Amino acid sequence: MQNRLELVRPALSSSQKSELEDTIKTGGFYKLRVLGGQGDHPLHVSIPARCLVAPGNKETFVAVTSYTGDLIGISYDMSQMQCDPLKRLSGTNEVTLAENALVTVTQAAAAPPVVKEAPTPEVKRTAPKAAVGSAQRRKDGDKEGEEGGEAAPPPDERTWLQRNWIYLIPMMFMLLNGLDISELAEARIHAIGMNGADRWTDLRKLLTRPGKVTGPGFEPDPALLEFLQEDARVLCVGAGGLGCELLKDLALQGFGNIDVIDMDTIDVSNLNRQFLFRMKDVGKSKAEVAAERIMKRVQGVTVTPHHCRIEEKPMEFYEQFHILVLGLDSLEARRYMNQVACSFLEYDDEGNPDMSTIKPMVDGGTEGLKGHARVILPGVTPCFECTLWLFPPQTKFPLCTLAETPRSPAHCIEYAHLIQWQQERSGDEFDTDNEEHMRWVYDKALQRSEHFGIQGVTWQLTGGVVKNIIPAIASTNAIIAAACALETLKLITMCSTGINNYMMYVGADGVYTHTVAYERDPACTVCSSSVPFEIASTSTLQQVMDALMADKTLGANLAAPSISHGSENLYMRGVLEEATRDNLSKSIGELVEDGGIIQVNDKKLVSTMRVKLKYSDLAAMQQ
Amino acid sequence: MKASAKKYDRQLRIWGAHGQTALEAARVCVLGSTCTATETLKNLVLGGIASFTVIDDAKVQSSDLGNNFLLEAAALGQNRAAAVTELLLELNENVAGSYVEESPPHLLASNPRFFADFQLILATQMTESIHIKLDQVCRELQIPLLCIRSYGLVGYLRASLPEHTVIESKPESTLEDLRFNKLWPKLKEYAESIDLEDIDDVTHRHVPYGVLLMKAVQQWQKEHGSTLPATAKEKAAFRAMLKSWQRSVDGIPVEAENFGEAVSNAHKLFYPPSIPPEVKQILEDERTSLTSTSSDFWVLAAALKQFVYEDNSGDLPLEGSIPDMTSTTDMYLQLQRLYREQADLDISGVETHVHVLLKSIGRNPASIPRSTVSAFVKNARNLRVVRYRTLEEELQAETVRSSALRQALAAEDTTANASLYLLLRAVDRFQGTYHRFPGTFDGELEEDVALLKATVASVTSDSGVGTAAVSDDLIEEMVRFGASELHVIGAIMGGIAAQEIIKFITRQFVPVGGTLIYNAMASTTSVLRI
Repeated sequence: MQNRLELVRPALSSSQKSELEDTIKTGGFYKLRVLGGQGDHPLHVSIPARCLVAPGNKETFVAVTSYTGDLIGISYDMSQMQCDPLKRLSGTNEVTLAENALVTVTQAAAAPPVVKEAPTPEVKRTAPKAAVGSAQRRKDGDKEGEEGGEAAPPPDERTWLQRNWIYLIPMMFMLLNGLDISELAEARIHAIGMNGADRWTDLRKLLTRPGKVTGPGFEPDPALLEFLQEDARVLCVGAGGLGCELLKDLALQGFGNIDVIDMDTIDVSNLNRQFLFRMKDVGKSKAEVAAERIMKRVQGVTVTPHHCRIEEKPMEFYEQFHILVLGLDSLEARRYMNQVACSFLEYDDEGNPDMSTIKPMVDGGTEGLKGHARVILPGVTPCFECTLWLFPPQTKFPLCTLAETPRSPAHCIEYAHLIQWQQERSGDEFDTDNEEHMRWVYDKALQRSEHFGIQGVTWQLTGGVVKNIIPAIASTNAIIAAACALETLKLITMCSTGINNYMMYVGADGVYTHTVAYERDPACTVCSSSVPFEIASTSTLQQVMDALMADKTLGANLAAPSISHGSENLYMRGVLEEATRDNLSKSIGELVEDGGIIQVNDKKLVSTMRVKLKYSDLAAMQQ
Repeated sequence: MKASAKKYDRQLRIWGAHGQTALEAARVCVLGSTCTATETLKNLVLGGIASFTVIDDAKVQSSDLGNNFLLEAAALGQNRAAAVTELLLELNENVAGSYVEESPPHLLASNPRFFADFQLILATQMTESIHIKLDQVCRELQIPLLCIRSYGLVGYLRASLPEHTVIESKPESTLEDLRFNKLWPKLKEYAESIDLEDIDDVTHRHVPYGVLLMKAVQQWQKEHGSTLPATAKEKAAFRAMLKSWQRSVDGIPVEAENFGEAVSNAHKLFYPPSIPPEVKQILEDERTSLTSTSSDFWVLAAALKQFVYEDNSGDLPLEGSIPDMTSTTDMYLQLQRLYREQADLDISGVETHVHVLLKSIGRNPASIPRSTVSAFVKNARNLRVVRYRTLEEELQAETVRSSALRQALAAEDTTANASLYLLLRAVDRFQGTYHRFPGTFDGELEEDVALLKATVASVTSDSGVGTAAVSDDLIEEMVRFGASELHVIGAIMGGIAAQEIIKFITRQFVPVGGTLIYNAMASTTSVLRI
């Protein structure tokens, strides 16, 4: 495991802050002073400046150490640059960092005006902490600064489950299917006869031979292949660039039953990478054509297509699969599937996830020459919502710029698209797939740009701006999809060690990959055991409901919530409304104990939201 | 072109029409026809190369049907190169394909001139000794070679050619080239023509931040001499001065967006970009001393060098584009025009040197068109040169870079992948000795582990890394793999190889400059500079 070293930087004065901002913007370095456990000689290291300007911000990186404990480099989570070896500025043996310690520097929230040499964070604590636990503590505002710094061997503070989940997945599949491995072995003879004796020669070596670099619970057995062929159920979400590759990869990894869901039809611009489609298929359902092509090519595999929106399927549909593999290109669709996967998750009374309710999910994404592959085990590894920050916000132009002071070709295109269309064709609904509509926007944008003397409005750029097109090529999709398919195989058979839990690939400057274990957000509204919510115990249930709906995060998916506590209905919509209405005027403290969890249901939510109530007035009294 | 513009839309946004033109002229030769070869070809055919040729004499076996998507069951027993060629051609009607029913080593020995007809040679699933022979042939013919392998859960990729030069390396982020403290006369004149005291409120809120910074630095230098704000205190004072220029309504200062941008972009003034180290190296390269055989790239580099050090006081030519700034349309376009005009002058400056240099080496001064000079100059910050050792140098005992290998074996993040590199060499040596790869047969696993251990010891000793330990776990893992070729590993290596080939052909982006090892167990890659 990776050890954690936590540092807290004193709050910066405004001039230090702007200094640091400059350093960051210009890709410069700032100095980190690490006070060692041995003696008081500080170790200075130079770190490429990345963030950490606003109070409360965290900067996380891996301090790469040699086997003797010397710091030899810094490696960032999302770094596109490889770390350069760092010079140690003085003496030897000042500090023994834990092996490849994960370091978090936190910008202090308060502003004690202690003037130190410009941005130099100070080590306040070197006792390494387990990733999950420490994240929780930071959130709670625990002062890291008050503990002494000793480099004691780190206790593994992860729960038993967090350490051992990987052992449980294959076991889980066996249980789910009520199958006994010896039964499978018998079924095998039949299967081999059907498939030809050595079609799976290569795959079989991996599944039937013992190894030491495997998932911890790996049991080599011919039955594993039979399990893949006969019993494993996998859903491929998307039949586009990644989806086509995933279907091919899964089929050639021995998966015998694959479902694929996609609402799209085939477009000409898909053909440079979606290799299952031909010119003559344009206009047909992606899921259906893809399924047909895979079955024609790989004998014995059954691919079941679903040509519809993911939201159209009931939860029972998703529940039947052992694993969900995502080949999507939109954030919205990923968030939806994430909610689906997390909706099956149940926690016990201690807040530990029930292993049998975990629906594993593998997700891939690409853009140009780069991409990512990740494994999501709801309740164990971060879900999509926990790491939403990985997705940068889209650029939007202010309307007044578009209307009054356009400066770039994109401004002209967006004016034609967002403003002129409304003014001149208000009856028509704009459709990005309608060539005439696109042509109209392009012509208007071109006219506008000529009027202002702005260069660069092209047909290609018009499409890019209006449709927010992500450039995509076959090779990157092939790499990412294959990485995802391999992780799917590993999760089900444990035939090799798995990604924990995110891998990025960058192919523009050489080949650079980075694999990193992101952390769960303990207050995640989608996958956490409960979301903390603070309110006075004297508030009425109505007030609690209003406050929940007004909350920026929690309220986003609430329209008409119903609330229950354990098995007791506190306030229900519909037929029970009348029976529970009286509770609305009761104080919440009467209905639910401090720290109690209420379940909130709403038609806008995919699954129940669990909210843990903390009474602010009681906390104040205790202090 | 219109239909293919539509079909290729998503990739034209990456490498442009000129990249696509290069791709559509490329003829690629592929040795081998297993899934590692076909997965590479699939990506290239989809992208629209001119043609491919597959060399292989093997027949389709049932194990091929378990890992190769470009084969149908009906092809069992037929020539594999022929079968995959037929299915590859279905992927893109604009691509031509052919095959040669001959074993790659045999063709290499009998007719090396065969390879002269291609833009690039891709060797798949070949062993070390064939790589070395192929490298000699390709170097002679001056054709780039790419070698890839999928071996169990391990991948290998290595390019070999003397030198690859890149003008459009397309870095993910670049520092803007704005020169706020080095105004040329026309820009200075323009900045001075805007009198902040004398304009109406609306215009005042729309003066581009670039102009505000130019005015601020002039004001600063009037008060502090010709230096830039250097200390944190000075920078804060500089920003405060900028803020104080904002107008007030009823005595209350109004925060204006353009001034906000000026304050938050002041670092572009404080830290103007210098010549990147890679570019400096190119300017200092001995190839900038031209001969009659110098390539256009080096003629341009030599001209750039003269321009930078003789005409431009050590600065690279102006890049010429500016970022968006809150501004009126007119003021922004005027500023944009001034930058473009100056960049054009710099292009002409370099072009003058190009003409003289071309003449001096006996070439037609017009043989490098202005459009090429322009592209080179605009990318002056992004120029890259990648050089490769021959495979023989990498592999022979007397020329192996033992110290780099030792370092890779010792550094924690590369230990496993450097070991896998040695193991790949060891399995080839094993195959040379025992005529099978370790772990080929289920019944000989333990025996092969022992034999492979001994082979690894001889490889490490020949590589000059002494008794460096390769972990037993990895040795056992290599035997477990038994030279299996898994579809997904073929797909990953084929994807990476296709990206690399596209980089070589389009001369865009930067290819891997060493030996790449892909470790599918840990999902990591390492590029070894050995």
